[in-house]
Amino acid sequence: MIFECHDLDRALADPALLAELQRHIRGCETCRNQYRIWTEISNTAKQLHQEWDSPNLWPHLLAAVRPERPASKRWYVEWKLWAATAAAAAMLAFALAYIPHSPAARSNDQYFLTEQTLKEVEKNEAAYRRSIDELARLAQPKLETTAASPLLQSYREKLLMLDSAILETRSNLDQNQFNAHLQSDLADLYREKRLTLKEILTHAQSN
Amino acid sequence: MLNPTKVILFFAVSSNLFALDREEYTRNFDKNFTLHAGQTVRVEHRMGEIVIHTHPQMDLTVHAEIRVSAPDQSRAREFADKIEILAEPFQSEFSIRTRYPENPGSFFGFNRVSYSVRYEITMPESAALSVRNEFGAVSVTGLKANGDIKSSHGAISFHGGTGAQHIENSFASVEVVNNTGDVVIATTNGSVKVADVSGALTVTDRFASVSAEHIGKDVKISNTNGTVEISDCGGSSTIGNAFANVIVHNLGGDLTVHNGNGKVEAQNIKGGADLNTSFAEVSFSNIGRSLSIRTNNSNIEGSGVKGSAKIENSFGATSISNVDGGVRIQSANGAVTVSDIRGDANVKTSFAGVELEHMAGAIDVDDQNGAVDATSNAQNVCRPISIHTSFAPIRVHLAGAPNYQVTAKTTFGKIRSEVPLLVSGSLSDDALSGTLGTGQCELRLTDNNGTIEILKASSH
Repeated sequence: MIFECHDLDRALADPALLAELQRHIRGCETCRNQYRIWTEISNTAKQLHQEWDSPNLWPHLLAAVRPERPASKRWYVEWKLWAATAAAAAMLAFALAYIPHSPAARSNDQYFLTEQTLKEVEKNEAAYRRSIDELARLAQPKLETTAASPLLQSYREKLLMLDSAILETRSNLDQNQFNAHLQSDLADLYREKRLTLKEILTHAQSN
Repeated sequence: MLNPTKVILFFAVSSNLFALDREEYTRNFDKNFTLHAGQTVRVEHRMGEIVIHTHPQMDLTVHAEIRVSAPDQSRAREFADKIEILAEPFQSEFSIRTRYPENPGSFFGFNRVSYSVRYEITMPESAALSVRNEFGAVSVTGLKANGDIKSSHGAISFHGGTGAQHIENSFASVEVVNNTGDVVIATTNGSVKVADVSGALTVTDRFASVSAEHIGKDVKISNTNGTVEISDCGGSSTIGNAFANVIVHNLGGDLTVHNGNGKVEAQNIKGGADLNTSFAEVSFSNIGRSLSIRTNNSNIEGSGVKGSAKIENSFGATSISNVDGGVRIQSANGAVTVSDIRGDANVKTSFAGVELEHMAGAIDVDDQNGAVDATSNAQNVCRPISIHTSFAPIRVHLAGAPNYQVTAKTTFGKIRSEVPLLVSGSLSDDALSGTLGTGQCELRLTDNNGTIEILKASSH
């Protein structure tokens, strides 16, 4: 083979031609300069290689390049999310209206609920719980994914803690159901759970 | 088959039954005791608030309001009478406990009796205090001894104390205002607010905000998923957090922050600052000693460091100014802007530009695929300059009458000098060796595929 300057690019990509290239650049200053530049670029590129821990980078990239879901399904999911959130918010507002809150603001006759108030609270609590369950159902796939981000893992842990606290409070309410502090505490826990679920869904949508 | 009319009537009657008023009965418990020196006051309670005041005397006053709600007065009274307040002296402590009777479920498990006990206790200010409570707030004022308060599902507030205070809570807030002595707080799902503590403060929390102001000694905070804010504290501070911001203003000692996915802001730190985070910005101002920042995917911006600054970043811009010591920046894929540096500057980045302005010390820049624009204000002193980049230009601005031994080399670009220099050796468009002034100092500029310019710095 008679090596010429236009063979340079091919030789750089094909190790079999390197010997010919070496012979050629001994007598060709133009190619020698070109070869030197390519060698410098190659060396520079090797020096540029760096590694660092970015545990959240891949989930972020994955989320960014994930194909768009069909518009109708996305609309449906968002509609369900906002409907469930709105229903939960309305129920909570309604339920909380019956429960005295801060102990300081509570007058002597507000240590306990009345029969009528308890009835309303229990009715609204049941509806509120259904709304939260709906939010939880929507959030469940995000929480169960094996590639859950550290943030989602922490949300998962928070939900477990809240569920445990709700269980404990409900267990005490079984023995003391007219106690306004317990009812208020339970409402606060439900509100916290709703906010956490909403944050999970918002986080999942933003990614 | 059910008759719909009967069903409606049944619910109407049931509804009316539920609508009946309930009866409440309140029984007060009042007793006075005298404590011996060294006795701890221990309170164990649940289902109700505890309010504790202190006084200089050794008297202990226990007032408990026992409240019961039931369908009728007799059942309320019967249940209230069974609730026991046990106030008992022991060798080293005085114990106050609440004992509730069994409250079994009634027909269909639907329990009709509810109860609550509220304590108001006045105790000797010099006696140590131990409180355990559930489902009720705890308030302590004026304790001049060590305190150990544990609660859940009820806010804790502690005011005007002296001594070492240990407070634990969950699912409710903690507030400590004015304590002479150390304070340790451990909580989950409850905000923590601390102010005016003369000693050290240690807080462990999760899923809630923590704020501390006017703390005399060191502050150590470990939190996740909740904002941490510290201001006007005398000692050093170590803060761990994740998924939420850390904001520190006016600290008397060193600051160390380990955050992740949350912003870090540090202002007016008298000691050094070691700031670490990811995926969120870092900002700082007026750092009294050296500064160290390690981040990734973050923008860094700040001004005012009395010592040196060391920054590691990637995929984010870095902008730093007004540093008394040297600056060492190692970045990747992020622009670097540095100005008003009294010490030496060492900058390494890639795929982004480097801009250095008002540099008094030596300059060493290693860039790839990014333009470098550097202005040296050094005059009558030797401050070597070494700049390397590729695929982008290098511009160096020199102040006054510079004295450099110049070596400039590029490929596929030209070299231009606005400052007259004495060329030595061969002269070509892409390589130059020469002397500026006395040639006292080294100026080395290396580029690949970029133009090199040596320019006069503007006088301002």
